[in-house]
Amino acid sequence: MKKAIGYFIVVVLVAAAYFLGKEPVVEAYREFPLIGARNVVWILAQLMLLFAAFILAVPVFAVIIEAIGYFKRDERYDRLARDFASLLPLAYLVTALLGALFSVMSFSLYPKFMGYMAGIFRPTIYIFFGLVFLETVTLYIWYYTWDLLKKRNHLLLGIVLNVLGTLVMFVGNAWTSFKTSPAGVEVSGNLLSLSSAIFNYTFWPLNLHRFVANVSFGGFICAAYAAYRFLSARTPEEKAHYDWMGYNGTLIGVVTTILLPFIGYWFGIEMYKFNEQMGITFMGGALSKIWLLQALVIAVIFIGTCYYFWLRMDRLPGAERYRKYIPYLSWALIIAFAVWSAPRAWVSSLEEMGRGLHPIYGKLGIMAPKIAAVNIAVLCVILTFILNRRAERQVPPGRKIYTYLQWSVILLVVLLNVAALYYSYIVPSATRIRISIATFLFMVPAIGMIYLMDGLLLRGSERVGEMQWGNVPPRSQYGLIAVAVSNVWAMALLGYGRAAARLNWHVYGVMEDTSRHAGLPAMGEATLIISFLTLVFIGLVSLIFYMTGVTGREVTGGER
Amino acid sequence: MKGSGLRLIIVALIVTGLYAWFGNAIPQSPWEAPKRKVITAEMTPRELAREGAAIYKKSGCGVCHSVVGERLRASDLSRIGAERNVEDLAAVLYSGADIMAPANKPPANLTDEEITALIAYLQSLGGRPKVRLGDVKAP
Ligand code: HEC
Repeated sequence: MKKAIGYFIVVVLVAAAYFLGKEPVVEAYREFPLIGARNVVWILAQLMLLFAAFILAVPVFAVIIEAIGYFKRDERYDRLARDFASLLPLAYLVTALLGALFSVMSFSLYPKFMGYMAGIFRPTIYIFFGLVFLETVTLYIWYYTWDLLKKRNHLLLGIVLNVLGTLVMFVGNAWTSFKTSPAGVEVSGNLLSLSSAIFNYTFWPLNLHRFVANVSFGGFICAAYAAYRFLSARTPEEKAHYDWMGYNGTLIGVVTTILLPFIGYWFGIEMYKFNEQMGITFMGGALSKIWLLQALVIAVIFIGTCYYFWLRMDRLPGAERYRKYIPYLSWALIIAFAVWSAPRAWVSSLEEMGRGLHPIYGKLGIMAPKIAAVNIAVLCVILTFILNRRAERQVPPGRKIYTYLQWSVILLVVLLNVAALYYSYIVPSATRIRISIATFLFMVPAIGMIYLMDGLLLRGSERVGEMQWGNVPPRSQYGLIAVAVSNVWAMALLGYGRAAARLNWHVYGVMEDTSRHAGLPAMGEATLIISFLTLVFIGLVSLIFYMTGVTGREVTGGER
Repeated sequence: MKGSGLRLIIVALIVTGLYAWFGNAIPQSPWEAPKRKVITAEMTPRELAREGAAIYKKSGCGVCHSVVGERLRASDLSRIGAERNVEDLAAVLYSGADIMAPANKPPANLTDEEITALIAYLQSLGGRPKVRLGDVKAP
């Protein structure tokens, strides 16, 4: 089996080398039967990206968990980390295969464009492969020296592995972001400066956004896997272990997801700086339906996660005190997402974009109130966390002051955002944008304050009831699986959005797409493709879990 | 074990199905890549203006400008033909203004002929189209 795969890779790589090394081709495009050239490349690229995210996320995750286990001297963490690491060799292989397939396909279907890209970025391609090689070697050493090396050294090696993985991603991001916001080239496309081409407008936002998204992706996948194991667990120990794992995965997933809107808006701002009209088209014009769908998906992720935490509170001794808040939180979340998803301009094309506002929703769809809505939604998630944490504890007497402070910060956030929400409907857009950036930035210290107060409040406090792992209703686990699927879907959706922002350009403003696939499909068609590749991805990942044997392992009992 | 695998598949199908359903339930609108207009020297200013109106739409000028007397992100153009002469219009279109990219650069990426037609259209707003191909000098 392994050999067969090895041979297959060699064949693919030779084929790739053949295509890459061919004389410059005259024709710009070739067609692919049935589903068309664009869809093939789209599906392969997105699958490859999802796997790349997976193999980046798992080591980040594994090293963090391993470190926690080391510092807490808790064997469970170490085992969990190792379970995850064992997925990597096969996952690397699949990623490499998809990468090779993607390169072969895009070089043969879009020869002129890919030839141009390869010409601009040639030196970085060598760096890329060098880094991939180093990363792979490091992975194997890291994986097979788990028990051999001293824990401290092993952790260090894990960090090296992560740095290498991140660098690989950065190189890929240089290519991707260049297509969106090219720099360092003449209008005709000739390269002036490679470093400007690499460090273009959206390079750093993309790096950061992808990195953080990958970690939350890892968290949710981990949680979904745990949910799956929880549902099929037979013994209470197993149930307890996977419940615990699902909880921690979700926590990491959500905390990092909360950061994403902030980085996403930075991305948007850089895009506006690069080209105003692109930003407008992207955020409010022809592509605004993407944001509608995104709001729906993120709503499922946020509400699904909160649902999970609320169900936990049902079983938590001591949580009765706080249960009364849950209905308010859920309504606040629902309203926030309703505001968020109101479309700005529901036009079918630029041609209809006479006024730039939606015929029914009108100004309701503008961006600033959406930011206020996101802020409120984020606040609800944070409060859910806080309640969950507090439920376990007995607040020591004489610390009421911290609760009051906490409440005032929360109240301030709500007031500020409601005010911003109201004003953004009546002031001109320039003021509106300034208001919304301010409220957005205010969230960071506010969340910090809320947590600081919480820390002070609960310092040295006693536990009311121990969290009883394994004692959650199965419903909650389906919530986790739905959240993970939604997360994959969201990544594929936004991958599409990023590429669609270029409209009919391979490289925005530099190289036009003159193929018959230059336009954009209707949202319905796009969502079908996105759903399809999400299912393929989940299928492949499940297969990796299965083939690695992780799914078959017992939890109890020492050496496995 | 089997049972929960099946349940996982069902959840995945429901979730991805929900999104695909929603994506198909909203109004559908594929976006077509703009096509080049054929503009010839024989065209009268009026014919040019008609082409220019189509070019105005496909180039996304309406994202920022209104032609019916409203203020969007930039000034209203409903009387621009009366307010500006050919040179002014050409100057704005070829060099851009503030956040407006030059019309001969991406994303509009118009040819000189298309820009002439666009100017004819702008002249028709609050005035009469007068330009012919060759009247507008690219800087
Ligand atoms: C990103 C927004 C944006 C887009 C897209 C845009 N413009 Fe502009 N335009 C502006 C701004 C800003 C100004 C200068 C300030 C003002 O007039 O409000 C301007 C000025 C103008 C002027 C001069 C107005 C005057 O009173 O002198 C004309 C004419 C014009 N644009 C035409 C166009 C045409 C034609 C297109 C499509 C090819 C277009 N614009 C696309 C933002 C835009």
